[in-house]
Amino acid sequence: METSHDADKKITVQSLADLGPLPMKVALGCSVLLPVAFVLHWVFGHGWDLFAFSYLQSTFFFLSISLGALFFVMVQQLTRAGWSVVLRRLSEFLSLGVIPLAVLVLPIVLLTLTGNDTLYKWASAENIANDSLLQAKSAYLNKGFFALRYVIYFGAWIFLAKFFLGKSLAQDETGDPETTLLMERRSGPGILLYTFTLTFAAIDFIMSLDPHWFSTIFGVYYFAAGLVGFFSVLAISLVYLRSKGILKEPVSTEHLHDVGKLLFAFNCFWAYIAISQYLLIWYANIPEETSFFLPRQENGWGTVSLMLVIGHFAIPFVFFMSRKMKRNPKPLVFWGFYLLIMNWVDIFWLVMPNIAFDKMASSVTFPMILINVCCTIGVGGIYVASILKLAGDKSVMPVRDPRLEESLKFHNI
Amino acid sequence: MATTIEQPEKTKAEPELLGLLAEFDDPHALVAASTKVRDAGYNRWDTHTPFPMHGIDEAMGIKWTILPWIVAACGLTGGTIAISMQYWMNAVDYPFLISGKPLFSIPACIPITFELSVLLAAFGAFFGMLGLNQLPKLYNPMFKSEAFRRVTNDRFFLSMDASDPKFSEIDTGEFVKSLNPIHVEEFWSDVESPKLPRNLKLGLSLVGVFMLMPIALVAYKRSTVTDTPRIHIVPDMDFQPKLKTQNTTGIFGDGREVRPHIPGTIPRGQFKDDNVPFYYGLKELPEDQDVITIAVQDDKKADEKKPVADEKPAEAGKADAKSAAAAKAAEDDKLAKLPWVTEFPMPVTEKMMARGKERFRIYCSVCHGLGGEGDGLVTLRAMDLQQGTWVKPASYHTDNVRKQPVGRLFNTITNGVRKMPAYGPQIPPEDRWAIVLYVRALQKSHQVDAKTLTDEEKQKLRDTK
Repeated sequence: METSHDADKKITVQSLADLGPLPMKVALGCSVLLPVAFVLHWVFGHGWDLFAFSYLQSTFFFLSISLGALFFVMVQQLTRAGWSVVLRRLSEFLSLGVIPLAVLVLPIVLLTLTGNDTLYKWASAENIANDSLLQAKSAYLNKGFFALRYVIYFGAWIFLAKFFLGKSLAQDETGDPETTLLMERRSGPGILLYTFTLTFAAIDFIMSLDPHWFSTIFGVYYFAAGLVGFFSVLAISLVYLRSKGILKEPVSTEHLHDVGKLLFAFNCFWAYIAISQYLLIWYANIPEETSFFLPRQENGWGTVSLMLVIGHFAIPFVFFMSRKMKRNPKPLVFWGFYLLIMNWVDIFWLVMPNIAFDKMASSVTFPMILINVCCTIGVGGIYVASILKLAGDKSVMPVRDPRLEESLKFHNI
Repeated sequence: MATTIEQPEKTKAEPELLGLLAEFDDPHALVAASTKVRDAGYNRWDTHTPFPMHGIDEAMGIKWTILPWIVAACGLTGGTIAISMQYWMNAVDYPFLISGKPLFSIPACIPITFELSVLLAAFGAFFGMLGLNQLPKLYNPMFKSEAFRRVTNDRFFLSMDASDPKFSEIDTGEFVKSLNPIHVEEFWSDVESPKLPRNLKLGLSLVGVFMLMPIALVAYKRSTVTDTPRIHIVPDMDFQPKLKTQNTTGIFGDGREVRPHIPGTIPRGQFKDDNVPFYYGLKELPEDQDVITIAVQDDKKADEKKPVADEKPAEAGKADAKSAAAAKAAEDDKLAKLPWVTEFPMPVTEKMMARGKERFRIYCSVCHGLGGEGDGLVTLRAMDLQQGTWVKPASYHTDNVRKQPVGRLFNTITNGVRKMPAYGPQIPPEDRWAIVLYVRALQKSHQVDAKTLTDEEKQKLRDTK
């Protein structure tokens, strides 16, 4: 493992700041929609519920992308992958998204701490008193422990994201191969920590919206959703950056091809997990489990469910098989956006049917979609702006990574 | 590209030129040479290297493999087979309802469809790869070249096939030499191939014959009949050394396998004390005990008569029906005269009422309906079918049933009436009394005028689900 000095000389250090002020302006402009969504909630009946759930959906949509990025960073280190070095810094930037999201999720936790049961039924003492199942679960699902776990989860993710970016940046200065070895050693326990925090976070923040229901595969489901989102974002941003002359030389068609392959693979993985969850519940037909899928077949949610089956899996499955599609930036970006939207619909489908107005299941309505889209674009603006700010003028490529040369010469057989 | 082994002919054949072999010691030289051969327009030629080389595919102008299409086709075939197989098996050939699921439903089919698609796709990939590479290939005339042995180590070869339309011995030879290989040689077909050893032939034929035998045996057994029982390789508890009812044996004096009660003993759990009201619903047992089970027996007799009655002319049938009706009335009369108890022979409690409600819903409501009006689901279905064999169960709210003393109701449950079978063997006496209690409550509930109720009671009724 030798540092290639030849590679250092050839490559000029580029950063996201080279994109100019426009992306930051657009992102900040988008973030205005978050207050708009907040104001909109007065316009519609049940607006507060719609806004609260939309906000949760938006933050956890972007969180899934950042967590996917964090996983990708650690897995590349763990497997000593050479091909992905040129993409890794971008993934590290994306994983930094957990920092703004920690702030964005905080209102949800604070609201729950006050005993407000808009989102989580188990947060209110009154609900617990009337529900024996909530009483049984209250040892885990209670306000104090929930807040503590929030601190643990985001603490762990911020720690991991900062650790891997920090070490990688330090290597840009020193070029020390020992740093790579250190990151490889730390990524094993890092992935363990990541797995547990992600699983429990998915259970706490999304699954416990319906505290009666439980599915042991739910953490994996959220993880799979996040990876689809992350690889979509990675493909889109790579093509975008290349069109702006950043990473144009280092990132070749071969890298895009592999990102496309991973996007395809994890989309299939998502479908596999989704059908696994559905099949067991469908077969067993136990009331406490079917309570998840029944509301998702009624009041317009059935259409959304079918849309996921066909739109999230069947259609992209056919198109992603083609090698040409993955090697051609334009269709890759199209399907990247497509799957990103599908991932959004997926999280929408997980969160929104849990709204119950006066104990009546909610249906898909125009106000719901409007508030949700505004909220997502708003949160997305803050998310992207924060990442641009945090990434600053740091190099978009680990310029002195010992495996950089391997990555530059990477070629699919 | 591939060359095939020439079949040895009976007459001694002339050796035939199969191609040219050019040797290179540098991979880049091979790539450069490949480019030239490609541009020269040759089709049947190949390169041989010790390791995979980037760029050689482009240099050789090799078309992108069609393997993915083979895999896709195999995968789709697998999926189609799986879906149609499951449809045929589960929905057509052997419809079998499992926990209320539809006979053919997509969710249930997904695992098998997935597995079979993957399996056939994997087969397609593996065998397709072998086929496209023309493998397995035990022998290639190029192997005779001494120099070619280094192809797995450090030499790079380019072979021109003589079957190429552009191939001509002199021109191609010159052309290959112009590529600057370190060595060029020709390879020729074998004039004769060594014969297989006699013993090997014999052995292989024997193996072939032996391999046919199991198939022949199976075919033979399938096309013949036998009167000997099948061979039990694994005794699946088909035969057990035990005595069964309705069979004869030499072990016991009376020759019966089922053992009757020993006189003067009471089987476990069948002890009935002198509590006649509790066990029979009667104040005291009548002398003619048969009378209490008369209803069921007579009804059975009537059933036996029925087919005969159908054959007779309509008038005779009417007469028969009349006599049956008369017999029924007589027997009803007999039953009515028995000394039935009018009070419950056990303390009536809230708990007993709840138990009665629960048991009633399990045993009685299917025919009699939840309200006791004789409109249970079984009844509704039976009336729907209109087969004429169903006697509609009595409503509890007719005067006739309402007037019956509790003992008589108890007796009806125990011994049955008309189409209703005896539930005595199924329901313990405590539960039978509980059901009677609940039936009484049902009857009462239909005879109360709402005006007589207090507001408090009305509210309570409204609140109860």
